[in-house]
Amino acid sequence: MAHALNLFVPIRQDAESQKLLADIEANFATRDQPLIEKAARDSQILHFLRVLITPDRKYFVVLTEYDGSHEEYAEFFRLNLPDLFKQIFTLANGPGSWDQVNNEKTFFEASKKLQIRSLGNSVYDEKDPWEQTEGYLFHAYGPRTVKQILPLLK
Amino acid sequence: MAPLSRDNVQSLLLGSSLHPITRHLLFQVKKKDGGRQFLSDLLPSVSKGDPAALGAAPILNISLSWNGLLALGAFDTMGGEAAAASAFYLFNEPPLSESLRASGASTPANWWKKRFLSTDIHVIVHLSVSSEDELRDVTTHVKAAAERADMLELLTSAEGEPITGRAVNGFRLHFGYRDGISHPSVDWDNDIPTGGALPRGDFVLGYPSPNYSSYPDQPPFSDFVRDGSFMAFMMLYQDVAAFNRFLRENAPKLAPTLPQADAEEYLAAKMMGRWRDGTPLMLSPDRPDEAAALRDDFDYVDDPHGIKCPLAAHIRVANARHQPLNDVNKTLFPGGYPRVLRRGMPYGPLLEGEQDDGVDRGLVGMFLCANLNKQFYTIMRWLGRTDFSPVFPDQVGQDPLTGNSAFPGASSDFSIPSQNGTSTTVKRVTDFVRIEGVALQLLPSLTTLRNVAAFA
Ligand code: HEM
Repeated sequence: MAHALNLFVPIRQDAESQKLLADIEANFATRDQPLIEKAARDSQILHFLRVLITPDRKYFVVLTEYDGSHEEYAEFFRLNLPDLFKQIFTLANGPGSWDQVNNEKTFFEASKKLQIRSLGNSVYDEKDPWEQTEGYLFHAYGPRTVKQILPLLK
Repeated sequence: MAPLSRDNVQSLLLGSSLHPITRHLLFQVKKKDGGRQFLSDLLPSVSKGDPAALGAAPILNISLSWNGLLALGAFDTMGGEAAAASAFYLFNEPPLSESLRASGASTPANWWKKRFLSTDIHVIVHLSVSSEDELRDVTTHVKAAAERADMLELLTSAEGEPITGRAVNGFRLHFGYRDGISHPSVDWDNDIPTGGALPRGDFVLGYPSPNYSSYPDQPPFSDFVRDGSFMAFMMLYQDVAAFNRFLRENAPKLAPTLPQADAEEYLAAKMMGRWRDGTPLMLSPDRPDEAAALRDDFDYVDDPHGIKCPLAAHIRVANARHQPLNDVNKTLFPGGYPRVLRRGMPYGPLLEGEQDDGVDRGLVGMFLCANLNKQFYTIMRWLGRTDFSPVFPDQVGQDPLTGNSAFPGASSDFSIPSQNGTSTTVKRVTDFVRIEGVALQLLPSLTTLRNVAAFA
C-alpha cells in the first residue's frame, strides 16, 4: 500500500534563485540523480520517484509513491538526501533556510505544508498527514509494498 | 549536568508502583479557572520521585493533553496557542491512526466506547492504591475537587465506573502472561550515561539525547516541558475467549506430541517470546524455568532464524535488541532499537475458557518517551508490520498478539520455525487485541503543574 507524495515547493522568483534552479536542472542527471538512485534503491520503501520543474518555473515538484508512514518517510528523505533537499529549500519561498528546516519536526511540517492532495479518495481509506482521507492513488499491485514485490521478481 | 531533581518529577515517570489497584479518571475542563483550581487542589497530593520510596501510600499523578493545556490557558503568557503549536511536534495532533494500525474495529471512530473523543480528554488523574477502601477515599477526594471546579468527568462505562485496573494473579495480564519484567535502564543523573544505561534525555524532556531530538527545544516551551515526559495512554481490549480458542485449536499443529495443556503453553510462549511465567525463550526455549523468569539479559543474535524465539514474537518486535535493522532504520535509529518506559495494569475481571461474557477487559498501557514519533509510534508501526529488519521473510507480518488484520495489506500468518528446518504457520482469524482509545498526554513536572495552576 503506497502513499503519494505530491510536494510542490514554491521557488523564489529572484534572479539568483532562478540561476540556482537552472544549475540544478543542468546538473541533475549527473550530480543528483545517482545519489537519489542509490538512496531510493537502498531504502526499499520507494516505488517510483521523479522530480520536475513546472513550465512557469514557479514550483519545484517532487512526486513519489512510497510505503510506510508520512512521518517515517520524511525523516528518511531528510537524513538520506540532505544535499538535494538543501538545494530545494535554499530555493524555496517560505519554509526558511535549510539550517532552520533541517530537523525532524520542521522538515516534516514543511513537507506537510507543501503537499498537494490528489483528487478523489484513497481506496484503502488511507490517511494523509492531517489524518484526513488521502487522495486517490491507483495501485496496480494492490496494497503490496516494495519489500514484498522485489523478492517476487527474483 | 545536574542530577535529576526527583522532587520535580512525577513518580509515574520514574517507575511503576507496586500497588495492586490503579484508576484513571478522565476529565474535561469546562472553565479555565475551574481547571486551574482543580490542579491547585490536587497539587499537594501529586506523587513525586521514585515510587519505590513512597511506600504503601496512595499515588496520584496528573497528565495533561494538548487540548487540556489550551483549556487551562497554559500558554497564555507564552504567546498563546499559535506560538505553542509551532513548538510542539505531534503531541498537538490527534493520534496518528496509520502508525497505530488503528484499522477495522480499532478505528478511532470507535474509541472510548463512542462516548467521547480523544480530543475531549483534557486531564487524566492516575491513581495507584493498596486497597479498595483507599481507592474509594482517593476517588472521592478527586471527584469532590472536580465537582468544585466544574470539571466534566468522561466515562467509558455505562455503569459510571472510571477506568480501573486490578492486578490479576500478581503481575499477570489477561492472556496469563507475567508483565513488568523488561524496563530500560536509565541514567537519571547524567547527560552522558554511565554503565550501559540509556540517556535520561530519551525519556525526560529537556535533557540532551544522542538518539532522538525532542520538541519543544526552545524556551519558553522547552522550560515548560522540562522534567516531564510525553505519554501515550492506551486502553487495549483483550479478547480472552478468542485467544484461548486460538491456543486450543492451533497448539496441536505446533506440538503434536505434547499433551494439550503443554502444547498450549508452548504456543503462548512462542507468541510472546517469554513463557507465561516470564522465562525468556532465548534462555530456556523448551520449558519455563522459574529461576530465569525475571531475567532480561539475553539477545537474539544467535537465533537469526527465530528457532528459539520466533522473529515476530511480541517482545522480539517490541525490542529486537541487537538484531540488524534495515538500511532506512539504521539511519533513523543510529542508537539502536527505540525504547519506551512502560507503565500499566490490566482492567476488567478475569475470564477463563472460550465463552466470552461480553464484559470489557484488557490492558491500560502507558508508554512514556521524549519523541513520540521515533519511540512510541515506531514501536506501534513495527508491531503492526514487521518490515523494520531484513531478517523477516514476511515483511508484512504482525506481532501475533496485538496485530490488527484489518490493517490494509497485513498478513495474519505467524511463522514458528523449528530446529529441523521446517516451520509451522498459524493464522489469526480473530484479532485478540483492539484499541479502545489512545490519548497523547504530557506528564508535566511539579513546577509546570504549579505554574499552570498558579492563576487559580
Ligand atoms: C494487550 C496488549 C499487550 C499485552 C498483553 C502485552 C504484554 C506484554 C508482555 C507480557 C510483555 C513481556 C513482559 C516484559 O518484558 O516486561 C511485554 C513486553 C513489551 N511490550 Fe507489550 N503487551 C501489549 C501491548 C503492547 C503495546 C501496544 C506496546 C507498544 C508500545 C507494547 C510494547 C512492549 C514492549 C516495548 C515490551 C518490552 C520488550 C522487551 O524489552 O523485551 N506492548 N508486553
